[in-house]
Amino acid sequence: MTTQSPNKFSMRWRFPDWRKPFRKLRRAGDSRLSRWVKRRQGDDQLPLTLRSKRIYILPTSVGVTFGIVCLAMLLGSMNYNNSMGFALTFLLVAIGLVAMHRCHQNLSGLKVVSASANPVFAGETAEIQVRLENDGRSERLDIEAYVGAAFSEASDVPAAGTAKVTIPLSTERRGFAIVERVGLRTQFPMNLLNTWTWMYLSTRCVVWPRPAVDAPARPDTPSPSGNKGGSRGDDDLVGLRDYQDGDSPRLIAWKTLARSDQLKSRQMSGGGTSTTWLEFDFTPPGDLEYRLSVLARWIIDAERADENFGLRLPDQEIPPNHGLQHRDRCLDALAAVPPGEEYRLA
Amino acid sequence: MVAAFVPQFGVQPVWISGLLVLCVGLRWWAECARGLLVNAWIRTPLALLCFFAVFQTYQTFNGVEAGSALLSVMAALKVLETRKQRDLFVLLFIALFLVLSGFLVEQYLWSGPYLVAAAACITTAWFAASRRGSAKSAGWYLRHMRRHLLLASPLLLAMWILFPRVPGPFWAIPTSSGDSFTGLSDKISPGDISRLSQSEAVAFRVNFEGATPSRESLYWRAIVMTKFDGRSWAANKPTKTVNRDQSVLPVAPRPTRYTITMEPTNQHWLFALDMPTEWSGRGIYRTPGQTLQRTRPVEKLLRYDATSHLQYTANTQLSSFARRRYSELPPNNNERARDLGRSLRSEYDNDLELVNAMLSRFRNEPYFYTLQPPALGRDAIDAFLFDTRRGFCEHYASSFAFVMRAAGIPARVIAGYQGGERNPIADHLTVRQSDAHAWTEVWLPERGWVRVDPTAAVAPERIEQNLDSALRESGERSLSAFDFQFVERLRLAWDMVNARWNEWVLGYGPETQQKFMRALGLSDPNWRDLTIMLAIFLVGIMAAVTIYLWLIHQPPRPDDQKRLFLRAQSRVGVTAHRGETATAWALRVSEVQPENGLAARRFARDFLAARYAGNLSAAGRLKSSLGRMRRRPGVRLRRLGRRSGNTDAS
Repeated sequence: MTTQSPNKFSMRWRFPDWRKPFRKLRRAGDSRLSRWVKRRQGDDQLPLTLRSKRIYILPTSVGVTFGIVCLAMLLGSMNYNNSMGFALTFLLVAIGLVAMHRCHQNLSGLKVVSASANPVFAGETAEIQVRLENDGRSERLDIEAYVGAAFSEASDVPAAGTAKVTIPLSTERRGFAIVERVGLRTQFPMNLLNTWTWMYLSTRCVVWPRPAVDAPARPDTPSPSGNKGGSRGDDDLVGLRDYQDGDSPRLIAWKTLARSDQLKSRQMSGGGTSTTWLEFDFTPPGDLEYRLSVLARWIIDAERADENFGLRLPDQEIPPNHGLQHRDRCLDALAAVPPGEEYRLA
Repeated sequence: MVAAFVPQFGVQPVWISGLLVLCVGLRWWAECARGLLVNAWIRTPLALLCFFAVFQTYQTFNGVEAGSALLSVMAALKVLETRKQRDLFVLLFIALFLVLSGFLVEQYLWSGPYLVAAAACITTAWFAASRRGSAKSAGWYLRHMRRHLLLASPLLLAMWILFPRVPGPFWAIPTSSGDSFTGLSDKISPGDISRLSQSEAVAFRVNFEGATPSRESLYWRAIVMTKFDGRSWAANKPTKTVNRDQSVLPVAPRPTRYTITMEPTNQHWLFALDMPTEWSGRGIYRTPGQTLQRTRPVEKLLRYDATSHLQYTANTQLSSFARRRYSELPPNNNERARDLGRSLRSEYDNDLELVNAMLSRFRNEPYFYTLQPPALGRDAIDAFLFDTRRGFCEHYASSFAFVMRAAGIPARVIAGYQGGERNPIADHLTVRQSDAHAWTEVWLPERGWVRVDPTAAVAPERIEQNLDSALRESGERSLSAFDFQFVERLRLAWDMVNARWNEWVLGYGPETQQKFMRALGLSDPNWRDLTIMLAIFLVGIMAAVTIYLWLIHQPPRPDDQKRLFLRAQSRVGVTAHRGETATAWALRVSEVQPENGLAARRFARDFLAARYAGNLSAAGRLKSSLGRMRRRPGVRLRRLGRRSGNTDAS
């Protein structure tokens, strides 16, 4: 119904933001409330079913306006002693009350199955995915998940069905972003009331170092087998072997798959045996975070090139391997390099 | 949204309605054909211009009419600039106020259906505006609106009945200006009432406690006219008086009690049967002329109780001041009528005999009762009495009172209504504008004010039956003359619907509420009791609503599926045998009714999955596949009105 596109011709004059002090007050109230709720609820374990004990409801700004309008109409009707005015006012009040119950019941009884986040590089947008399950006969509408001020899109959980909502969260620092509190809210059906619940899940999101853009060339280190990394033979197909987890999709023998329904990986000459060591000590000395960024870049490049590579950090060593899983393992190790600590997001 | 404007269209200047149509059209164009949204540089001056125009039209921003005009303009312009969700809500709030202001201007029978329709439109728009997820079809919003309003209706009813109604305005209400109502006025010139008698509009309705008095005694007095200016009789300015004086003394101790529901007149006077002795209602008092008046004009439907004594004496003593006032005549007009009065005086010593002599003059000489009296000149009384001799009740009443005053007998003209139509269906009396009547009262020593109706002398049918029959005798017919019994019954039924609506909806105020509570067996609950009761009821209803909402969010029970299976069987008219599986039943259905085969097989598959494998999504599909089965022709629907596919889970 609304067109969100900004109007090119709109006047650039802004009304002074009278809501600012209210927002401040609200934020203060919010944090107080959150502390109280946390004390009340404690930490939560998934899956959990939302019961009235943990569902809170307050009017929205539209709801407050609605209330004021109802009051004004009531006074007007009483003053004029106008019967139809009374009828209209009472109808509005009744509609508001029903909206309150529908809003509450819309959330009450919903099951939260899981909340998880995929690892991301620092600076990328992390996605907290919350899985909801509704075993009731009625669908639940306009459910939004949020962390702080970051909201997912509103989605419906169909009757006897599930839905996934995704909260986009921007990350800044390498390490482990902890999302302490995930909220679920709904303002269905009339935007008059906000029903919400807070879950103290401490969802962990691994934030890998941002890959350096201007990373120096990856050093070619002599591998234990004596071969040089990167001098991989030109796609000399040696043979096929069964697919193992972590094999690059590029190695999958698609034609074979199409022919025989068997997942096989191509074995290339050379590549399979060449091994590179990516060492912390090889990175240009200086800022720790920059060095980790360089390492991250190398790891990604090495995986792209489908190399066998190992990672040597000051306090850790990951034996050579290849594939996406191995890459992720190495990047996880980078994220954990001290002082890569846990930090709270929102 | 548009629904809110409908009642405004008639009331407001054309330009506002035009502006609204234009704005909605522009917006539609912008939405559909990617037309330009009007930018702020145009909108702001346009808004100022419109506000100025409203001010020009009404000369004020205060008051219901100007206020609602302003709201309409704001809404129209808001339509142009609506872009965000917030704007939509602003628009919806404006719409609500517009609906309310429509009610403040006027309330009719159709206000009820209109309220429901407007609420449905606004709620649907509200649902659509507040939807966050992917947009749904209009039908989806309508279904949600319907469910919402159904859930809200018991709450509405409880609040309607129990919300304590407090009498009286808290602040001064700007009186609506220039509202003209059909009805009596405080001045009677020849031809006024005959004009009124063309109108079939209801003036008021009466519910008698006990038997309805006979027709001849149904004189509803409203205005006492004491001043004659040579042509018209006029009432004195309303004066407040000793509220319960001893001016009316009942002769027989048989009071007639009744309740009057009167339509708005914008005037102070009320109606009461000759002569009112008791009355109830805020601000109602009795004037020296024994009529009932109200301190505030009757701007909307009013209900009040009154008690009258049909046999009475009124003002057996008359002060010399009052005597002079009731005998006063302006000089230099109607000389012939004045002479008539003087000659009657010299002929009769007894006042009563004089009155009778004048009445027999009307009766015996060729005077005619007609709706189309000829035009009268300057000396209207003379012209009527001696030349034209054709007139309606006001001619007879005013000339009679004139002659009486000329003869030295205190006299006054009473305007009001005579008779009324008994509605046997609703057991009330409906008094219409066509029952408007004028008669006279003369003051006789010892007896006080005595009602004399000169019209009765000329056309007794007018009093005994009604205007229609009186005119039929004289070969004329008024506008409404239904001869068909069916139409007559229909008319009476419609009158009853109107009366009930007036009584229980439009006129539901403090008095009616008290009455209703008494009927329920509660003796005079005060507002505190009502509030407590209201709270109890609201909590109870809301608990029921919560339980309902909780139930519909529960997992489906196995019984549900079984019930759906039974419904499917009755729907296609094929009953499953004992021990027959759903699959076997579906196969049988596809043999008998090939058009239902697919739906039945699908239903059976989902039924088995839901019932025996606990497949929830299959359970959810059952209802929709039930809806897909076509009803076998000729099978009577067990539950009418329950259409297929009315689940919200679609």
